[in-house]
Formats: sequence, structure tokens, C-alpha cells
Amino acid sequence: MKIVAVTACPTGIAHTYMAAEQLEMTGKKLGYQVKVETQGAMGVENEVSAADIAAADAVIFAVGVPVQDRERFEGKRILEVPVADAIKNAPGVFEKLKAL
Amino acid sequence: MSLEFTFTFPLPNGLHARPASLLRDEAVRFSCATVLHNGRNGLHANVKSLLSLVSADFRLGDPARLTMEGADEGLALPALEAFLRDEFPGCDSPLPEVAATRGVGFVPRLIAASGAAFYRGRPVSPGFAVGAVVVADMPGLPEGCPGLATDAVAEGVALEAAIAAVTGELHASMTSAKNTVEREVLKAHLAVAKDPEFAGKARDRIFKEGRSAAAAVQEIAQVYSEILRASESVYLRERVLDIKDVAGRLLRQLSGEPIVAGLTLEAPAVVMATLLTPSEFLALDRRFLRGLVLSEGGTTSHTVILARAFGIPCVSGVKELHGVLKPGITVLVDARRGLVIPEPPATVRRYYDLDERRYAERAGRVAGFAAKTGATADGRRIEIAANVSSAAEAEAAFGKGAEGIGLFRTEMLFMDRPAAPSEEEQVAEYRRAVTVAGSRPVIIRSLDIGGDKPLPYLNLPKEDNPFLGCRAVRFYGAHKPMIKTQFRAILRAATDGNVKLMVPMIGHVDEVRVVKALMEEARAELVAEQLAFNPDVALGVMLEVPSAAFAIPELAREVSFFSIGTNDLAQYFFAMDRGNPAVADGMDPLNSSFLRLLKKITDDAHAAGRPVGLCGEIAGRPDLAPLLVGLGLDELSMAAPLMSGMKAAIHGLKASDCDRIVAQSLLKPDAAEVRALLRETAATVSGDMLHPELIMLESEAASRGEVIKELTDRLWLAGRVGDADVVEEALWRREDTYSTGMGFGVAVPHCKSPEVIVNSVAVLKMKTPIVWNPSDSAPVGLVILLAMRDINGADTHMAVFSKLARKLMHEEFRDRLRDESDVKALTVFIRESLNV
Repeated sequence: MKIVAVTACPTGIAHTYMAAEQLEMTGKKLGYQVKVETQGAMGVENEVSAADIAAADAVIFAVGVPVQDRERFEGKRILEVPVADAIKNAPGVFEKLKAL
Repeated sequence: MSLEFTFTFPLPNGLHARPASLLRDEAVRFSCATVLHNGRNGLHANVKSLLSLVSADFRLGDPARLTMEGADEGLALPALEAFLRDEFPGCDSPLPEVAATRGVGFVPRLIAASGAAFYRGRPVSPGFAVGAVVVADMPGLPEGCPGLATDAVAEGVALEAAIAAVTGELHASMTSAKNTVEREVLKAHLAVAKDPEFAGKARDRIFKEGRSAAAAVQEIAQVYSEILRASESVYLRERVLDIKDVAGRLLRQLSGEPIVAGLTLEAPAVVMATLLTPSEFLALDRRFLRGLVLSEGGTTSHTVILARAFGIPCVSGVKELHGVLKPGITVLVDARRGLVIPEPPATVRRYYDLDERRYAERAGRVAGFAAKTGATADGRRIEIAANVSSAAEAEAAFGKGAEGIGLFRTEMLFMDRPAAPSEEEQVAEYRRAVTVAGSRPVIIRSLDIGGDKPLPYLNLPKEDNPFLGCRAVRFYGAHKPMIKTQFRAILRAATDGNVKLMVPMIGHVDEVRVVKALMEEARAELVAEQLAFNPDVALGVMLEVPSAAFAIPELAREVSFFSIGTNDLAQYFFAMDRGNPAVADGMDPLNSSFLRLLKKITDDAHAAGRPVGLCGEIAGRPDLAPLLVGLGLDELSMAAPLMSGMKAAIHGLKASDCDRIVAQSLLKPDAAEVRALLRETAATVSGDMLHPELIMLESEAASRGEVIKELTDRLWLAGRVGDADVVEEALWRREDTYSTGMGFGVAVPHCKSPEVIVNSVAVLKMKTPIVWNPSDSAPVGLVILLAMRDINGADTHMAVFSKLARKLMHEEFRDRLRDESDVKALTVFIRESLNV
């Protein structure tokens, strides 16, 4: 299963990157192919392309602020969770995604 | 018949005690009745009564009419007219305003959340205090003093005796007072005690209304207090204190009771009062006096000025305290933030323990620099000297590590007296400073007086524009004997020391030649009189007139050193009155045009082989240290308390960096960009985001709030944040959105704030893990704080922050952080993991 995700938090200093790392780590462990775009103080990094989105089976938004260019993901299955959930309970996030 | 003339009231602070007493002194020389009418409010005053004058509530610009009626009215008119025109407008030097502290009214989260009641006021004398409340209230009629009396004559005699006793008491205190502020206060009180109208009205009550002397004094004091309190001038309202003070002294005389009977301090105390009079303040036992809380009393009251002089923390203007601060309860006074907290709970006490610890630690660090010589890290010498106004101050300055006296102002010696000081008096004062100095230099500035700082005995003509008029060296020619006496005194005091003479307001080399001729005369006289003196006193010029900055080569042929007086130099350079708040903001010394002027001065002086110092206010600003060093100044002279901080700042700099910063500053278009450059430099020069100093092990913090406080204080001590309160609040704002506890026993509080100077990572490990947030699953034992500057665009440090955030998700990384107990090893490990 291919998953794309976006992480973003209010100051963009810590949680954005912690959540990204956790989703990548946990996803890999669970056997998913995960690509995470970070929208933080450094700006947008590891941007997911239109092709990435098209190929993805599902989308995770682990955010505390609105996602930039959200319209890119129109028509996809999207799970939106608080950014802290992705950090503290990433396996739970993937569980929810399966149930979607 | 009567005579009169009209004028516009000229004093910005209104007609308060000091100018009123000068006017009265003029009027009492004549026997005619003299009345001053205020056309604005219809009040009129007996000019021979200070209280009557003060009560007429004159303010700047009021239409005033003076009438004289009596035998010598023809003599009085021209004399008073001349006085009011020539001397009166310049006779009032405003009392120093106490600047409000930064962060006023700020209530730290921990205190707000503690549930403790707190009251806000103005922090007017900074510091922190805890003590038991002692309440000092207005003196009422002393016990045992009846309101009515049967024997009016006896009461009248008692009143006269009390007035005589209080007058004598005040005279005696004035003679022994060492502090000039204290002397000024006593002078004002003496004027009230001797006021004819005060005594006259009290006598009326005794003889016409059958009141006792004590009741009469108390009632008259009340009447005047009410008049003054209704005044629109804050300054006059605060003079209620002076009346209350004198009334209290009189009542004590009349009743035999001590005026401040309830104010015997036996344990650490915070004194709480509506108003506290200066003599009540001075009567308090300062061994136990920890702080003051005043519900009235602004920033210019004599009591507040005394509190500052003695270093007693004071919060004023605290309303609604009566009934709350009961005698004996413990109260905490935060005279930095302007908070008063009765019966502080343990959490609040702990917060302030931490707060005090940071101030004590900083004072300790800076104090370590007091004994050092001023030099940069790479060894460029820059002498750190003190600005003083008396020998006593010079002695204190050497005790604080002064490498010299860069500016000994001599005006104080000449002011507030009927005639100029004698040569012997001057020799004694200068020699006292020279003796303490030993071989260290003492730069004595000759008299800097003129239209803006008049001396009553000089009869200087009134000028429309005194700052551009006949001040300092420009009036020496007309007062040669007085100046020659000062030169003689300086030459004589210099026999045993390294004394230099500096002349103010030089604009042109001709003025130096006049001064040198006068010095030559002084030397010749001393030789003829066979008096011992030092013929080799170096002569220097204070650079404060822009024309002198463009005459350095020829000045250097005549004198041996320069010192830049930036306060006046900036005012003349920008053509802005530094006393006028409407324009004063515009004269920013960071303007590159001004920096270019300073650079030209130092370059030209050095090219001529002459040293150049700086003795304006900017000399004591650590934030400008890179510029001052980079300009190549040889000496910085400042208020003594600032010296250690300046030495510390300079020791942390490299001269080569400073030279580069100045070179870049000179190319900037405005002050804002120079300021930005300084901040940018502070951020990069300080280097690493993570420094061993920012790692704290075995913290005993008991809550999230204490952890945040400890970490921000650590950043503050390391000079990485400006206002720690603001950064603390920014961290809390971030906590408000959702907990920064991330599970695994780790929390990562973080913020972006304009008060962050250097991007920083700080680490704190708990002795005992704490609950970070109730929603967290595990208690937190490891805290990593990220503090980031509030600038737009990506920052090289940001990549490190994001890398660290990612690393923290890895168990092995966290375990290593938790297990490593050596600060150095921990620093190395984190740096290596992040490739920094």
C-alpha cells in the first residue's frame, strides 16, 4: 500500500518533523510505502508530487494548522489526525487508515 | 498706591517648593506686601509665604501678576522684576524621573496560575523583597492631645517652641546629611516649617477658635494637603509629603510622642503606606527594611528617590491594598515587574527563588570582571573608567574596578551655594580623588556651566537659546578670576597623581589658546607664590561641538588627548534638543552618519598620535560594545555601576570582528540596519546552538512551569535571550495549543520569539520525573528546549532543529541522552548525531 502524508504544526519547529519521522518509521515497519511532506519553518520539504498523489492509496494529514495546497489531494481518501497523535501513537493512526 | 507687573509663568514643573523658596527669599528683602496673582485660576499668594505660593498652583504658561504695596515698593519692583526675568526661569532643575522598568505589569504564568492574589503597581526602585508587613499611616492627632484648649496663650507659646525646635532639628540634619538628595528634601521641609502663613493660620486657630496647638497644626496641615492634592500637577500633589512630614515633626514636639511610633522594625519588613514621608523613610531601620509598597506617590517623590539611592525595592501606585496587607502577614514585592503578592503560596516563593538565583548568578559572573582590565578576547586594550561628580563618588568607583576617572564633573561643587567654592576647598576635593586614584588617571573637566545650568552668583545674562549660547569655555573669558582659581586648584591637587584637565565645549583652536594662556597665568602665579603644583598636567579637549571634529589636526598640536561627549555631540550634530521628547528619538547614535563622524574623530586623533576616549551615555551600553571597540576608542568612561558589565561584554569580543562590524556599519543607510547588523553579529559570533552551559543535569524543578523557567533563565544568563519573561511566555503560548510532551518521558517545549538572540538548544534532566501534562501517558524526565529567533526565511540552524526533532523519535537516541551523565560527553554526542 502506498501512502502520502503531510505534517504541519503551529510553530513548525518540532512536531512537524517528529511526526514525519514517526510516520516514516512506523509505516516502514508495517510494510507500507510512505512519503511524508513537511510544512514547517523550513517551508515545504520533501514535497509530494502529483504523481505521488495519484499513485497513493490513502493520504494522512497529521496537522495542527491548515494544509497548504490542500486541493492537490481532492478525490483521495484522507485521514486527518492531530499532529501529536502521529508522534505518540503512529500505529493507531495506521489502524484508523485501514478502517477508512 | 501699589505697583505691579505681569509675566507668563516660566517653569515646566510648576511653582513647587524649591523655586518658590527662591522667589520668597527675594521678596522678604523688602518690607512691602507682595502678592502674586494667578490669572488662570483666580488664586493669589502671599509671596513671603512658601505654602501660599505653592498653593496658588502655578503652571507653565499661566498669566501671572505681581503686586507690591508698601514703603519700599519702588525698590522692590525693579529687583523682583529682574529676578523673575533673569534668574527665575532657570532656577528649577527637574528632579530625576525614575524610568519605568521593562515588562511592567507582566505576570508570569506560574504566578497567574498559582491562584495567589496579586496587585499591580509601578516598579519605581527595582529589586525583590519578602518581609512582614508594617503599616505606616497618616499621623492623626496624637493620643493625649485634646482638640480644644483653655489657655490660648500657653498653646501659642507651645506652638512657637515646637516650630523653633523643628527648625533647629532640620538645620542640624541638613548639616550632617551626606546625600545631596537628602539635603534637598530637608531644605524643602525647612521652608515649610518656617513658613509665615503656616504659623499664622495655626495661631489664628489657637487664638480665634480655641484649638490646641496640636489640633491647629494637624488641621492646617490637612487644609494645605487638600489644596495640594487637588492640584493638577503630579509634582505638587507629591509635595503633600513635605507638609505631612513637617506636621508630624511638630506633633511629635507638641505631644512628646515619636512620629513613627508604629514603625520600629525588628525583623525583615516591608513597609506599606499611603504615602511615606522622606523623614519617615530615613527613620526606618535599614537593617530590617526590605521593601516599600506605596498606594500613592509617583515617580518623582523624594521618598522614591531616596529609596533608589539606598537600593530599597519599591512599588508605588498600588491601589486597593488597605485591609489586604494586614500588619504582620508575609508579603512579596516584585519591584522589577511591579507586583505585590500577599501571603505568597509555595509555588510563587519557588518561582521567585529561581528568579533571584538568576540575578544573583549574573551579578556574580559580572562581578568577576570588576578587577580585570578592559580588553577584548584577542587582547586589544580599552580602558574602562568612571564618570563622577564628587570625590566621594570617585572613591566608590575605584572600589568597583575603575581604571581611571574619565570625567570628573566639577559643576556640583559650584551649584546650590551663594558663592563659588574657594581654591582651598577645590584643592581638597580634587586631591581626595587623586589620592585614591594613585597612578590611575583622573580627568577633571573644568566648569561646564552656562545658560542651561546657571549659577545665581554669576548673573549670567538670559539667553534665548542657552544651548547655543555662552556656556562652558565660551564664558571663561568673562569670568577669568573664577576659572583661573579652578585651574590653580587642579594644578595644585595634581602634585601626587596622574591628573589631566579637560575643557568642555571647545569648537575651535582659538578657544584652546585662550585656555592655555589662562593656565600659563595660573602657573606663573603659583610659582610666584611658591605653592607646590604639578606643571605637567596634560590638557585635553572634550569633543562635543561638531566643528571641533573637523579641527582635530590643529587641536592635536595644542592638546594631548580627546574625549568624545556623545550626548551633546549628537544633539548638536542632529540639531535636536535631547531634552525634547518630540524630537529626542530622532537622534539615534546608531545612525551611520553619526558613526562616520565618530570614526573620523578616532582616525584623525590617532593619525595625530593622540588618544581618544568617549564619556557619553553610550559608553556604558554592552549592546554597542562591538561598535565602541571597532571605532578604536582608547578609553570608555561611564556611570560606575555599568563598568563590570561593559568589561564582561568587551572580554567576549574579538577586536578583528569589531573592526569588520564598524566597517560594515559605516556603509549602512540607517540606524535600523546598523541595529540589525549588531543583532545578526551577536547571533553568529556566539556560535553553537548547543553549548555545555545549556545542559542542566539533576534539576529539582517540581513542575512544567519551573522547568520552563529554569531553562529560559539559563538561556538568559548565557546572553542568548533578551527579556526572559517574554520568551517564557512564548513557550507557554506554544504549550497552550497542545502539550509538547511527546510520550517516552520526553518533552520538547519550543518557541519562536523576537527576544531570542541566538538560536539555541537547551537540555534539562530531572532528578525526579514530573507530570508534564495530565494528558501525557508517562512522567517526563528529559526536556529538550528549542528556542528560535523570529526571522523570516529558512535559517541554517533550522535544519539542525528539524534533524534533532527527527532524531528524538528514535529510541536509541533518547536512551543515550537519558543515560549519559557527563555534560561534555553529552554535548559531543548531540553535536555528532546532528553533524554540527
